[in-house]
Amino acid sequence: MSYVVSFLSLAIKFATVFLFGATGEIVNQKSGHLNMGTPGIMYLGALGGIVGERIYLSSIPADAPLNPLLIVFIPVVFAIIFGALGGAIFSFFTVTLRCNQNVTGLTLTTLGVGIACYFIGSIDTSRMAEAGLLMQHAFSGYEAAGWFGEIFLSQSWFTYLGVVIAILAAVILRYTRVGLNLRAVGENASAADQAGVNVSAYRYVATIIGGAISGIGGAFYELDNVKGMFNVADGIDAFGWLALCIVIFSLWRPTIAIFASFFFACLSVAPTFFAPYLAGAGYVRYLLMMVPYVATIIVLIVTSVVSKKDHAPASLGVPYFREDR
Amino acid sequence: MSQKRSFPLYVTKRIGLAKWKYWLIRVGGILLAFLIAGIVCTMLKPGSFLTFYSEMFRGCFDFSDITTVIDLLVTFSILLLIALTLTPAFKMKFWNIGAEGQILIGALAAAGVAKFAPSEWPNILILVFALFAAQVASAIWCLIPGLFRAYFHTNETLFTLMMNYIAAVLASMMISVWIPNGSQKFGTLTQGIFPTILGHSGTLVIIFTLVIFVGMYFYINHGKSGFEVAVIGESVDTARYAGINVSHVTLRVMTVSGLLFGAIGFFIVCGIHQSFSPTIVAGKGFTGVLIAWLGHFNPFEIALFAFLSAVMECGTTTAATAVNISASRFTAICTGAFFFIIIACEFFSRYQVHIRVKEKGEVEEA
Repeated sequence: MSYVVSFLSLAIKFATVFLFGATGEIVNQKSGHLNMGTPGIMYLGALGGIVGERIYLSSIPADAPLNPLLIVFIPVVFAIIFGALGGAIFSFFTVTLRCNQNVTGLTLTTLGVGIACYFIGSIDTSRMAEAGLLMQHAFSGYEAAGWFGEIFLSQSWFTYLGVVIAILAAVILRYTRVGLNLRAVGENASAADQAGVNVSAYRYVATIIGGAISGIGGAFYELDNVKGMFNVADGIDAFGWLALCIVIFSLWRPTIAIFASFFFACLSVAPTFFAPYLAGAGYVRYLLMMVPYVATIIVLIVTSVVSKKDHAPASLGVPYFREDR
Repeated sequence: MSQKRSFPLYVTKRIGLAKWKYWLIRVGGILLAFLIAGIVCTMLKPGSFLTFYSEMFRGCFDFSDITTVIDLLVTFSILLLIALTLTPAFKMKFWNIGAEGQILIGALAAAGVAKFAPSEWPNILILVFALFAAQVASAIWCLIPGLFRAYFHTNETLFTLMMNYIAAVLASMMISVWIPNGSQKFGTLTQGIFPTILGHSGTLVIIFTLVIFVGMYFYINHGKSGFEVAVIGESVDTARYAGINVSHVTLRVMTVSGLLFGAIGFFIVCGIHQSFSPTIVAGKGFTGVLIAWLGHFNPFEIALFAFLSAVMECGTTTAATAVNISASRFTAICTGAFFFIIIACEFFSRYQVHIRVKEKGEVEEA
């Protein structure tokens, strides 16, 4: 029982990384931007997070107690700034400079991974482990609620923030005028333009906000899961690509993305969590690692074969220039 | 005009830009990119500005040590081959961004054959089998998304992207099966390897690349298949009306891509590295996508950009090592900056930015 509880708790924690990445990417894609720079943006977010944490840690005396709220708040602000910067670069190139989205995205990933890897490795990590432990649990005394507390109340602020942002994004996309306009831009930019929607502005803002959200995911992984101990082997870019999978898997709905992230996280955590039981058959853990990608492909195929209606925004990846026919 | 009325800048399409002006913009951009690489290097390691360029030059064109030059040409060859292979698919608007995985799976097959072929076989026979296995594996990897794209319009961008990761996991899995001691180290191949010429095992790859380049040039520009691809790229409806079977062309192009990607994987494993690891393609599949796009699907332009990327990669690696900064990350930063600048040049050669003066009477400015 306790084994299952700690597994689920760990999976939810891991799902947070995916959820931020996927929610950000959904906001991107709803505007018609297939942003393949998300892995790079998540890396930039991780860099932002660790820079923010370093700034906070350097601003207080060496032995002063850490403020449990500021230690989350300051890195998040920096992750948002860095992620938004990544989104701004992407939209500058695709909207203003009218470049191909795939090309821009892949370049942004190369650049983002390069910059973040270079600088994260050179940042002083003293007290980061302590800070990481401190931000692990938002509520103290969660043990009192038994297994429920262990699974749902033991998470960090990041996790709750991620769920709130995902739900907020779903509500805004579905029930507000801004969301309607954004979906219109993603479905048929020309029609939206004729209806008086500023396509460029919507794409810019959506991509910048999406980048900011994705960036928090990278920061969370860097600060909480690995506690500033940067290691290229735990490449955040892999999570970025998985976030892209989740977007497809959840049919572009942030609320479904919450559960899809959890499902993908279970699959990601399982190989290491159950390693003692899998020791005999080494290849099983690789099969488990393959499941998220295969599942995403199956979703892609099934949606394209079964339903005539494509769930992806109709002009996903299609640039919009008014003077083109 | 894409901007609001009050915005002080607006953009118009350039019409009939002279060829030399177009290349002036591009060469300017390329020089700027190399300048920025030097500035980044100086920022990371103050005072290294001139060392950076001398080391960069030494890392690419050191004729006293011929292997340096061959290293550069091998990197160039692989990038050129990848971009050329992607070109027909891109030309028909099939966004294959799975080159990384398609090459890796071919490399995996070649590595398996080369490692486990009976040692009494002659080397050339092992090589032929390795090439064959690699081509079959890569063709399968290309045809899976190709088939679904051709018959169900499944989104190929996302499909091929996913296939990259499945290939990477499969490669790790096969290594753990082949090398059961858990070290995850494939080791060096002792059979099924290219001969060493001029002190480098990749020399033959350069020669094969030349042959493939000529073949692809005619395939893209002068064959019936290349023509069909071009028509589909312009308009699928026109192609249908002209009696071109779009599904068949898709499958044909993906088969050709697979055969070539298999050969590239085979070159990488048996020729260049004579070893295997799940990261052996090292992101070149993605770089190839950028090169194919920025080369406008023109084989000669692609060759130019492949060469510049190779110079960027080999040069910055040597320079970074010389000034003692992390080479792989510095190379990634420089490559990223390089491509961003080339993309920006693309904009300035296709569009013109004007400054709006007051409400009426607009004054032009480049």
